[in-house]
Amino acid sequence: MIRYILRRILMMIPVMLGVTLIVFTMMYITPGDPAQIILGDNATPEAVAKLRAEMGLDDPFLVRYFRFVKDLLRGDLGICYATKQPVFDRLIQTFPNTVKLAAFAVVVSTIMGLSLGIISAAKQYSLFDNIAMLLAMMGNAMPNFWQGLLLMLVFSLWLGWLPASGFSSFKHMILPALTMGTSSAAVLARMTRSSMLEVIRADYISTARAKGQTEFKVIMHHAFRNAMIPVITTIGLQFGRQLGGAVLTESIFAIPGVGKMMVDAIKARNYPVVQGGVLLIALSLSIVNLVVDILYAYIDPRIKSQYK
Amino acid sequence: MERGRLRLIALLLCAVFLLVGCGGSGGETTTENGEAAPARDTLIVGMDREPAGLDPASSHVTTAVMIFNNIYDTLLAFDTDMQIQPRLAESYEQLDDVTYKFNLRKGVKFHNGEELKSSDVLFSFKRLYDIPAAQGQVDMIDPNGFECPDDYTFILRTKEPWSALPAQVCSSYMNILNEKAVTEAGEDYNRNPVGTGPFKFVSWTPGDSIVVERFDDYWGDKAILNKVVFRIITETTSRVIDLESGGLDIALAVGVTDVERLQNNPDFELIQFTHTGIRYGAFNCSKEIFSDKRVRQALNYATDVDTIFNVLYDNGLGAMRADSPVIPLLPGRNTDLPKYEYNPEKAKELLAEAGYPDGFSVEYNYLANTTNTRLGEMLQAQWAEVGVELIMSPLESATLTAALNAGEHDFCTANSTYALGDTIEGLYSFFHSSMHGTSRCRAFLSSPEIDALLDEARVEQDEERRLELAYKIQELIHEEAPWIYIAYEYYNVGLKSDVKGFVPAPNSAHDFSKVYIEP
Amino acid sequence: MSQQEKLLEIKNLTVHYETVDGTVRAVENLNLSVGAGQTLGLVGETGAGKTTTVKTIMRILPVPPSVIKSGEIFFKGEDLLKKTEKEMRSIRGAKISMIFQDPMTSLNPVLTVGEQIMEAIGLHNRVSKRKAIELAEEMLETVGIKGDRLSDYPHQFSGGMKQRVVIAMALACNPQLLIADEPTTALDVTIQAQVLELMQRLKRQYKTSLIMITHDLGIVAEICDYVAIMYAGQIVEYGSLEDIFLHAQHPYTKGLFSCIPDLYSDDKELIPIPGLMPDPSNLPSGCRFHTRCQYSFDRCEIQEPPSVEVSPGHHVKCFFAVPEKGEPQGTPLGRPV
Repeated sequence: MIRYILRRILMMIPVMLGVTLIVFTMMYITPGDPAQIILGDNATPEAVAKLRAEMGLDDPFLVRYFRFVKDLLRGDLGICYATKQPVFDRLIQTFPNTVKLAAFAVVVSTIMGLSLGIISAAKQYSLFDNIAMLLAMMGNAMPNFWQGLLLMLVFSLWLGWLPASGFSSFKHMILPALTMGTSSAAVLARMTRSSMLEVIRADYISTARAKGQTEFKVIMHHAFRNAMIPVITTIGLQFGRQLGGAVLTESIFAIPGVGKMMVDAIKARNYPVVQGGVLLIALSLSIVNLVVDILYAYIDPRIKSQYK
Repeated sequence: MERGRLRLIALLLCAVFLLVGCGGSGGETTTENGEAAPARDTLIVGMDREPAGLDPASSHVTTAVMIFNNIYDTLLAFDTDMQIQPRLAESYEQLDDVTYKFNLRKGVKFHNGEELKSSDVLFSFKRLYDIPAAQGQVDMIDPNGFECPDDYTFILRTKEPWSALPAQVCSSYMNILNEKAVTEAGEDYNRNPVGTGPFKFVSWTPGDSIVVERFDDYWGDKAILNKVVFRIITETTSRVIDLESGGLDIALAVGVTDVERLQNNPDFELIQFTHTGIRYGAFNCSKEIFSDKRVRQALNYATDVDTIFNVLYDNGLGAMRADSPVIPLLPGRNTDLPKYEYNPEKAKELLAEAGYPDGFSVEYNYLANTTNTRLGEMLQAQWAEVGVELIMSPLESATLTAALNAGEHDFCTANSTYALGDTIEGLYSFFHSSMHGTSRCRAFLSSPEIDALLDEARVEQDEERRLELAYKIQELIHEEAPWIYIAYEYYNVGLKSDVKGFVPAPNSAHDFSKVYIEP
Repeated sequence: MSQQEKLLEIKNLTVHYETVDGTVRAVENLNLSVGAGQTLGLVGETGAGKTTTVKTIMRILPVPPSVIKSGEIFFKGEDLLKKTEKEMRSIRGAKISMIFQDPMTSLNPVLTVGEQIMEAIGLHNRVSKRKAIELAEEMLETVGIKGDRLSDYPHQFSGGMKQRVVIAMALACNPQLLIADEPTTALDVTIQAQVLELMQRLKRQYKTSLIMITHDLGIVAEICDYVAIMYAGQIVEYGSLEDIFLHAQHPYTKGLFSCIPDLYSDDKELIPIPGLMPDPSNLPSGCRFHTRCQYSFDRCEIQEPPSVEVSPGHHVKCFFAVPEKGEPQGTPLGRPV
């Protein structure tokens, strides 16, 4: 198992390099000049040209890419064009917020999604099941942007229970996490339900019932753990989605997260920040995937025996 | 069984830790709206953009300029009527065509305790030559012409006679820094600014807020508020909801859609003011089709600006209809320009005269957003009536800027501010042929006559003559028709009704030192 | 068999599945009994209602769609259908156990066999964990598996071994009635014999009654005391092993026997029963077998034949059933051969 994990970690290196090459190429071929953006409206073309030269933006593509990779291997992600801080510092400032938010959203969506999914499966075709699946469909269809504003309107403006925006206390995290969590919860609920339904019809569930086990234990202990594999995969995917796609939620709730930073960086052609951010997100996704794979082994002994 | 239960417990514990972890490390930024404090002396302002840094030489977004105005001082400054007033310089005099002498205020303290000396001014100006983003600001100033005869006198020379020098000295780039503080902080200065302003910098939580507090050794009237928290909330709707739900005292840059609601709510006040910008459509005169002024005039006649204006700005709720290239705030504005009334027949005549009886097609490059899309669709319909096909070509902002600077567009729309808050400087940057390729020059106009008049006005020291020239220049520009004037947009600020003393500055450099919260 | 000897007695049981596509009459008017220590073979084609019947005894049929329309199931004189869910739970696994058809799927793949055996023990006995492990090990040894394999997962066992584990699990609480739903169908023939032998041995050792569901008459001959032949939700013939194997009267039972190759006579051809089991949601009127019965006559289409006790304990549900002393039930054509 440990060898398997080590191998997977080593595999991440070429993946990360591939990611940087793709992002680097994409940034290279999109038009737009960071020097111009840094200098602003008052800049003369000469000043822009001079800055471009200073920043090394006029060098050929490969020269720039290899310079980037060389720095990267030394652990240097470069300097943010806008704030002149090391990109690493900017990531350290923003990434924990995004991780907190994503983690909270995943907790929210997991609790909501799993409970809805499990109860729906246990009471298939009941009123609860129908309502839950309707809600899941709505949760999935509702755009985050709209939902975030709606939550803000209700809980901040009308009820005055929660702050509308910002990120300085636990209270501030509830609305954004709900916003991000509901669509994931919807996906999870549907996934859990179908996965559970498949498992509930299995013989070993009848066996467990025939032993005299309580229905709750049958569902939770026997059925749920077997239904977990696709569910865990979905949770992992959702976590990845939250990490990379929290942009809108971060904007609406004024959360200093990595998504918002990236969008700003892309707009400003702030190449080092975009590179650093994509790299970090790709790395987190790889780690999430690895964790999911390790969880598989933990949940299903049959998979564990394959990892050796 | 047992193992399963243990796992469940472990899972629950993990969830709890996560929650606690999230809640625990909240950070110390005080965005709680001071419910507990009896007398509210902390003001929370919601702003739309985060400054890249707080070094005045490296940042130019309006919110940065606003914060600079509260933590720094310039030698001279615009008041809210856009008149130049003394600030750190008690007075100044022009010694000859190119030489200006500034008499500095005595006993001015920086936030780090240092006293302001002319050497700080020299340092603050000299460093601009080394900072790419600021070089344009000192283009007209002679780097070898600075002098510090004593600690409280500073002499500056322009490279050639230049009437806008006082306005340039008001620019936020020209804020006075403390040499020692800048040298000590080095690269970190951007995040540790030290100025002489009424507020001193406290903290900056990236992406969240910038906090300043009253500077008790301020040379002028001390600020009334103890603390101002500038929160960064980029989403316009969120900012207004936050204001309405009590999270903010002031929301800057309120959207047109929220104007009426705030106006009608007795708990809030809405302040509208025109800022130093104008929204217009610009023909690229360097393109074959638009090199003929008859074509530009024809499309001016073919455009029903009133309809466009009413649709875009909610019948005047969000802006004032533009009728001149110069904004209403500035002196020398020519209000006698004949209007290009909506007249498709006349447009067709002019197009035929210019050799396009069957029209042509042009591309509209614009920043992809709702306003611009609606604008483009209306233009498309109106111009189609005179046989001109408008091809909509939406772009993302950096790509658009690059294309526009390179002059690749046929037609574009823009909202540009007046450089240095000066009529002549503004017109110069918009229409002088030497400005082609810079980001205020969207029409690529090349008129020797206009160039000559702008050159003359730029060095003219006599204010009256300058304004006369400005008047004349507007006439010529109007005749050349490189622009379709659309609107002078309002800038909306929403305030809680107990917030008093806020006077908006047209250049968005709002001063918070006189703001207070009514008990 | 007197009332006291009967461990389990099912009376007039009717179970339907009510779905949106219609009502499936899975079991109808079923009567059956099992004596203490006896083995009953429940024989029939797939879909005859065997599994529904036994799952109804256990009350583990999914509700909905299943509905118990009528009937009583007496277990040791008490009606199981009147028990609360909680009371039922203390009966399941403890007094009545069940072994499912496919050992590959009837063990939970994510739990060790030890956990699964101990679950059964722990549910019905107040024992310490250490004791539970001991008991589980003992059970494994009893079915011929080494006790140290307690912490292995099902996928580490072969099919036959898994079925042994299932048997160990079912017998862990020493039940009075064991229901085995085709326990050997999914196994290789050689393994089948071993498992059957094991079951017989344990049944004797534990003095357990057994309901053996099967469609393999060979197994029935080997281990059963009584046999019930089920067709389309009904028992068509019931009797002792001898009654059924030597004196079968129902045409369906006879049909089943003529499907088995006889090693000792070489002249007989195998004669399959023509046609298919009727669709249980659309059963024929009258006798349910009449559509496939070579002896059917007009009455069979209209009227359901009664169950006739042709000799003590031997019941046949057919108009042609002839008591050993008596005449057939009003057949104009006489007794079929």
